[in-house]
Amino acid sequence: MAIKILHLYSDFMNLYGEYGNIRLLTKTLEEKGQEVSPESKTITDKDIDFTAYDFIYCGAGTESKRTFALNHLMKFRESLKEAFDSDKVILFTGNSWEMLGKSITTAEGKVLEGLKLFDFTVKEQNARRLTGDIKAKADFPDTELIGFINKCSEVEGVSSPLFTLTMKPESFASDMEGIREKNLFGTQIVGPVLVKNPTFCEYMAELIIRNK
Amino acid sequence: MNKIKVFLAVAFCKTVRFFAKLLGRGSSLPGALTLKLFPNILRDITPPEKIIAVTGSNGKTSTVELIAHVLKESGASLVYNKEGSNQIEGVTTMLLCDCTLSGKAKSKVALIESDERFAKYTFKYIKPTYLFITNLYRDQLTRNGHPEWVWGAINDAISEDITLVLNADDPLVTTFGKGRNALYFGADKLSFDKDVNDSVYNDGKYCPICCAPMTYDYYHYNHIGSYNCSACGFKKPETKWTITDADLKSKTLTINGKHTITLSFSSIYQCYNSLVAFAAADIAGVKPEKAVAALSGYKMQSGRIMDFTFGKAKGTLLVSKHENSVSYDQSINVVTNDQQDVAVLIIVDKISRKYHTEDTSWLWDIDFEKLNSDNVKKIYLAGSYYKDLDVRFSVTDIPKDKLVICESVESAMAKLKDEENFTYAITCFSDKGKFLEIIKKGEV
Ligand SMILES: [Zn+2]
Repeated sequence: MAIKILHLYSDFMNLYGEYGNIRLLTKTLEEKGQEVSPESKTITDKDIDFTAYDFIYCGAGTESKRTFALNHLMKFRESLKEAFDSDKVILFTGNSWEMLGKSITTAEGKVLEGLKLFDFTVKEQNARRLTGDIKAKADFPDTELIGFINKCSEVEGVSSPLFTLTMKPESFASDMEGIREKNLFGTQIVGPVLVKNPTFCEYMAELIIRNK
Repeated sequence: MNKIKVFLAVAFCKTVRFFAKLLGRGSSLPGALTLKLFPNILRDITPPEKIIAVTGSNGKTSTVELIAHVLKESGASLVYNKEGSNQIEGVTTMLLCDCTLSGKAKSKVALIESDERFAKYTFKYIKPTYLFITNLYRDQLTRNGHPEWVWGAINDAISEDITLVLNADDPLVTTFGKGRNALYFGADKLSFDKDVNDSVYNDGKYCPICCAPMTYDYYHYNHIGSYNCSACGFKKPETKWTITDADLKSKTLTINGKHTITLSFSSIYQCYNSLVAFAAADIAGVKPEKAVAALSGYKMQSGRIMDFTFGKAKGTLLVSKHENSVSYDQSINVVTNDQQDVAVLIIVDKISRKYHTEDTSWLWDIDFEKLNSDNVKKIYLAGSYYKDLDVRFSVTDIPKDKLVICESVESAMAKLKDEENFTYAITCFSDKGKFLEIIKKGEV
């Protein structure tokens, strides 16, 4: 059976070449002899069953587009939670993983209800864009990872961060980054993070195959 | 007291400028030093009667050069930031050096290229009479955040006494006009337009006002075209200055149905730049005939295009902007529109000369797939980021045997020496130096 990949909101949660993650992961899986069927779902879709996929991915977007995605995704919260609980491999990059917490306070002071898979909270501001190259360390793959972060938020209350940042812009409040729970990976790194980190891509590919 | 302050500031700025020029320093320094001593000096001078400012992601420098050319040709009394120092320091240098010692502007018109993120600081002191906004693209996201973030920065710079002149074909730019005093320029349906946006990404897919999906009657390129949102009624507005016809082969464009300009280099982007220059000339009171005469056949000084010969290789350098996919798409268009067989050299060696980043995400927003064209015989991928280029090209359908991967600019040039196809070199300001040096030496 083919590996089913879902690229969520590929048409607007794509701040910076995020589709590269899916292209390279697909290629990597195919080179491992797997048949892959990638699929996209977006805001106009009225029916999404997250449990039907082997891998779910969502990339970064602008703040307004993220709110747009969050409103839509809220309708499918139970399905997403079920996929998470049943150990599906999930990767949310950029500000998309921030949707998974309890709430997001926007720069305008509006409190948006999150998807509540986790207890963390997010606070955005519009005074200063926090950008920069980073290096990160994780316990899976054990190589150093590189990436670029482009955000306007700080996250609080993550109990199991994904990375420790070994290099970060001074403007970042914390050197703990992202989230890892079961097979869900959330990182603030934008763009094609799997392309820049072949070991990360390899790890995800193996995990997806094992988990199928 | 004020008079003495103005006198001192102007004299100081001019003196620093004089010595800075001798030392080969740029035009930012005199203004920067003057602002340190006299922080509010721009408020105390009498600026030119008309101030035209230009901002946006792409085309600022070219547009300002064209406007300046047309205004100068028609005898306008003009000052402008020729060297493209487009933050407040450069603008201060330009305005103070144009003043008499009593602080009165000598020129009637000031033309300011303004950095989109810093316009709010510049405009706090110097209010443009007209503000042109050319476009908002994904550009240098390593420092700019994203186009909507830049939108916010520009929006903060707009006060109600500024008349906006907006690109009607760019949905995000058009939204600046909501509830404000705005004029629009744009292009009608053109012969080479497309029905679908086949770029890697589509930043015009959703309405910038209500986020509902938009439909386009036509796309000129990327998300630039005629859009409308059936959910909230947002759509391309009526334009005062309009490209009614453009023929890239015969290199002509017609504005408002009757003013035809012959371009020395034709691309849709140059058509927009010329349109903006025509509109600015109109605003400054220049007769259309004079604007057409000045724009016709004009060769850009801020040359993004340069011919070269190297060994057997003959070609054209197309200077593009790293971290700006539209700029690359523009160069790729030139390549694929060429009728002859060509080779392409792409160099990514240093991403920016102004700040440090190693981020190459932007390579994934560029439409490299289009280089899978019959006329493209060979593609050299070179520079310290050759691996990033290699992976990017590995997911395109371009046949592997067309790709020549070179780990340095030097090794690419050594191979290029024997290239028999006409060669397009595509790279950025930050990397063209290395390339041109080797060309100049004639050997690696
Ligand atoms: Zn709308």
